[in-house]
Formats: sequence, C-alpha cells, structure tokens
Amino acid sequence: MTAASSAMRLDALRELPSLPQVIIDLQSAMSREDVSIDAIADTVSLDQALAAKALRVANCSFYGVPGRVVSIRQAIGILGLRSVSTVLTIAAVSQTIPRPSCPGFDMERYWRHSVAVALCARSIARTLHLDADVAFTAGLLHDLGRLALASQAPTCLGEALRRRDELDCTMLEAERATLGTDHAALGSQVAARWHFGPAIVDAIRLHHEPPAAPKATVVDIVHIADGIAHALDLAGDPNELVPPLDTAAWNRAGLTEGQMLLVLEGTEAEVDGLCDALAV
Amino acid sequence: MIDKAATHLPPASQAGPQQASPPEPPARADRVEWLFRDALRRRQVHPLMELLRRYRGQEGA
Repeated sequence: MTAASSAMRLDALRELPSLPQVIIDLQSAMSREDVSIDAIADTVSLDQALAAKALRVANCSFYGVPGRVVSIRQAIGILGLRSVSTVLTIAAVSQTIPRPSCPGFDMERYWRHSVAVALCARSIARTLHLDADVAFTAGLLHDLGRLALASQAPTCLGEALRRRDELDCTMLEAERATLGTDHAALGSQVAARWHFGPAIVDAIRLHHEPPAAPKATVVDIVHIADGIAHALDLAGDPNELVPPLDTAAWNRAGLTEGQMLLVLEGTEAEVDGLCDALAV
Repeated sequence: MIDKAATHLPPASQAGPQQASPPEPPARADRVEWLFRDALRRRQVHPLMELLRRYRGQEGA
C-alpha cells in the first residue's frame, strides 16, 4: 500500500459518526460545578437505547448493586454521577462505531483487551491515589484508533495485521510501517473530536510512549495497564505479544510486588463479569 | 509464599539480558516466555516478565 493510498483510506476516519449529543453534554457537564443531576437524568432518559444499555451495565455485579437500578436518576443516586458518566460512555462508544468487517480483526478480543486495561488502570490509579474514573475511561478507550480503523479503514488495518503476523512484530510497528501512522495518534484524534478531556486524549495518544514526568500520570498508568493486560493473555489472541514497557513510567509508578500481584488478581477476576454486562 | 506487602520489584534497568524464546505458541498454561518474545529477541528485560512468572507460580501453588 503506498503512502498516498493509505492516507486517502485513512480519510474515512473523518466520517466516523459523532457520539450522541448527550455524551458530549455529559463530558462538558462533568467539568462544571453547577451540574444538574435531574437535567442530565432527563436528557439521558430521552435516548432509550442508550439508557437501556447504561442500566444493564449499572446492574451488573461489577458495580455492586445487581438488579436494583431501574432508572438513570436512581443510577446517579446509587453509583454517583462520574460512574454513570463512565457507563454511558461505554454504551455510547459501543453503539456509535459501525460494526467492523475487517479480516483478522476480532471485535470480541478487542473489547476484552480494552475492558482488561480499564479494570487494571482503575486498580493502579486507586493504589496510587490518582483519578480512578479517568484512568478507567482512558483504559477503555486507549485502542480506540484500532476500532476506528477496523470500522472505517478495514483494508489499512488488515494490511497492518498481515504484516504483524508475518513478521511477528508489535502492532504499533506494523501500523507505522504500513500506514505511516498508528492507532494511538488516530485514536486521540477521534477522542478529541468526540470532546473527551485532555487527560483522556493524551492517555490515548501517548500510551505506547509515555513522556518524562516528575511523578506518575494517567498516561503511565494506561501504559502499564496495557502491558499487564497483554501479559495476562486475557483477550484470547493466538498471536498475543507483550509490547515494550517504558522503564521510567514503571519506576514512576513504584508499586510493590504485592500491590502489583493484587492488581493482576483483581483484573483477571473482574474482566468476564464486565464483558458480559457490556455484551462485548 | 510471597510477602505481598514488603517485596519491592527492582527497577527494570538493573536486570540483565535474557535468552531467546521458541517461535511457536506453546500451550496457554506455559506461555509466559513466549508472550515476552519481543523483549527476549531484543535482549531486553521486561519488568512484567518476572512478575508474571511469580503470579502464575502463586496461582499453581
């Protein structure tokens, strides 16, 4: 594939549908202090498909109140606005992106890996007393660019997948060699267009190459969580390969072995339940 | 038995080179080295590899 034809096909990513307006409003509301829970509940309830999926997720055992949540307003009261925002975001992303038909791309494996990274990132963030909700959402969306490629430019992603399988290299290397760009750069562009905050956009863009920082960041957490999710081999990919880990990011996190083992145990224990609830 | 509270992982930069791993995927229960084949080929130490070995060993104990 030439650089020109690759660029032309990648233009299709611009045609990716927007997230529902309610999610954009929610992202905006989360950064304000005068947010009205009633107004958000009323708006979300108008989108019946989104509200139904959000309630299904809110009722899974992962959130600790299975079967008790019957309305969005109640979900906000029980789970809190930030958790409901995360649930709605999951529901919106999975229903907004057209189902891909890309040879070699497995949607179920994609979501299992993303859910594992989200759970792992949340667990590490809690241990480090960083924002666990942001870490969870960033983890869930870290490979958004790959999903967008599979949906909007399947030939491009298929070429990269073939190269990865032939050379047994990392997916990042295969994408850069065949597309001249990678899923991290493309995913951050989609996330920015979808009005996600800078912490999540940066985590998506930099999750393979965390920059130097004085202390651990959400980017570091998603980078480490991505490595752990690959190492736990949870997605069921026969060609699974653990990508390189940035030692500076690892050392910045500075977790003890005992803390890391608890993170691994928790991630493995929770991934099936959340994937079932999300129906992914 | 691993002391979860007290054992610290060494900084990754302190570890030495590793051997290359076999190219064919082994059975799932014995995949740790194979999963880290990219780091092994580059003769780099991956901080997660030893952690995974201990974790899988703890599971089997």
